Order: sequence, then C-alpha cells, then structure tokens
Amino acid sequence: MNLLKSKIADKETLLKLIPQRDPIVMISALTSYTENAVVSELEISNETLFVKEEELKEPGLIEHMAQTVALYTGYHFYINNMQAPEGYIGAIKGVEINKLPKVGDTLVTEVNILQEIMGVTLVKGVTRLNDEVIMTAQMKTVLKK
Amino acid sequence: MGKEEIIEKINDFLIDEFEVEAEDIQPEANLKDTLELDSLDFVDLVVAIEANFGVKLVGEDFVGITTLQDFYDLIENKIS
Repeated sequence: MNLLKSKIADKETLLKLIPQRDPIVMISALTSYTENAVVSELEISNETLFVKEEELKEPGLIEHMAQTVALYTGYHFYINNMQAPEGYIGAIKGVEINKLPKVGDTLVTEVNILQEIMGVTLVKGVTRLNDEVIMTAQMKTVLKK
Repeated sequence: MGKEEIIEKINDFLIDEFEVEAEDIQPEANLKDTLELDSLDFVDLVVAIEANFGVKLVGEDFVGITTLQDFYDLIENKIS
C-alpha cells in the first residue's frame, strides 16, 4: 500500500529526503513509498548530469537508480524526523540496459528492497520509459558510518 | 534437519555462491578474515540462509559470531 498521500515533486522537500545536492540530484519526484518498495521519477533535461548528445548515458541511469534507493532510506528517516543519511553504491550486478533515454523523457524507477542488514541494503530495481523496461539491476547500497 | 545436513548446505553455498575455497572451510575459520566475507557479503548470506533454511537473520544475530562453527550453531538454533 502506497503510504504517500500524494506525489512529492517539490524540490525543497525532495532535498530533505536525499543527501545529494545539485548538480548531481537525479530525482524529480517520489511517487510511491511502501514498506518494501519505492517509486521515483526523473525528468531528463540538458542540465541533467551524464547527458551527452541529448542522451542520458549509462552512469546516469545507474546513479538515478542508486538515488532512488537513497530516497527509500531518506523518506524512512524523514518520517521519523531524522536527517537523510549519506551512503554509497557498494556493489552492482546483473545490470541490463536496453535503451538510453533522451532529453525530455521521464523515467520511472521502482526499487524493491530485498534485504536490509547492518547498514547494507540489497535491492532489485527496474527503470521504465513509457512503460517499457529500459534497465534492470541488483544493487547493494551502504550507509556511511 | 540434522546438524550434518545444515553444515553441508552452508558449506555448499559458501563454495558455490561466495567463492570460498573448500580447503578454507574449517569450523574454526574466521568468517571475515579467513573466509574473506565482507559486510556486503553478509547481506547475501542472509538471503542464502532464508532461501535454504526459511529463517530470517537480523543484524543482532551476528553479534558474537566469529567463526564458521559459531555460524553453524546460530543457524541450528534458529531452525530448532
């Protein structure tokens, strides 16, 4: 069940949920949050990091998915009145990128939390563009101590 | 499930999924130093234990777990 009353797209609020700051913010909205999953959006513009020749390159897709994981953790901290923690990508496996999105596209990324233990979060992520799956990956993120 | 079967299953996935050398698998082996399991591996260990034994481990379960024997005992206790 989505625990959000409405989509969060206000930049000021989003910046309370993730530790990243411009120019590396790669989240435009939080659209769904459940106990074990989160859905985010990214509107790609020419100012988006990792955009080259009107296309968001592979590192941008990976960073966007990682920030979606950060959003999951950050929202959990936020509703418990704590500051969004810093973290980093610990490992990635099974990355499949089928298509690179273009400027003007909006990505929708769903991350499912498979396991969380000792500050390590194991997730499975899917990024879609107009309902077409363009990236899947399994990722481990680690909270900075 | 008997103790021997638990040990065999754990050893099997340590070799197959965690690339631990069979000769390094000794009850007194240190999980972190000898078997070289790092904090990122532990989350996979939790997933493997849940898949193989149907029990869910939490961070607190690993307190005091140093050797492979400690780990065998932990799983045996969790199952029983």
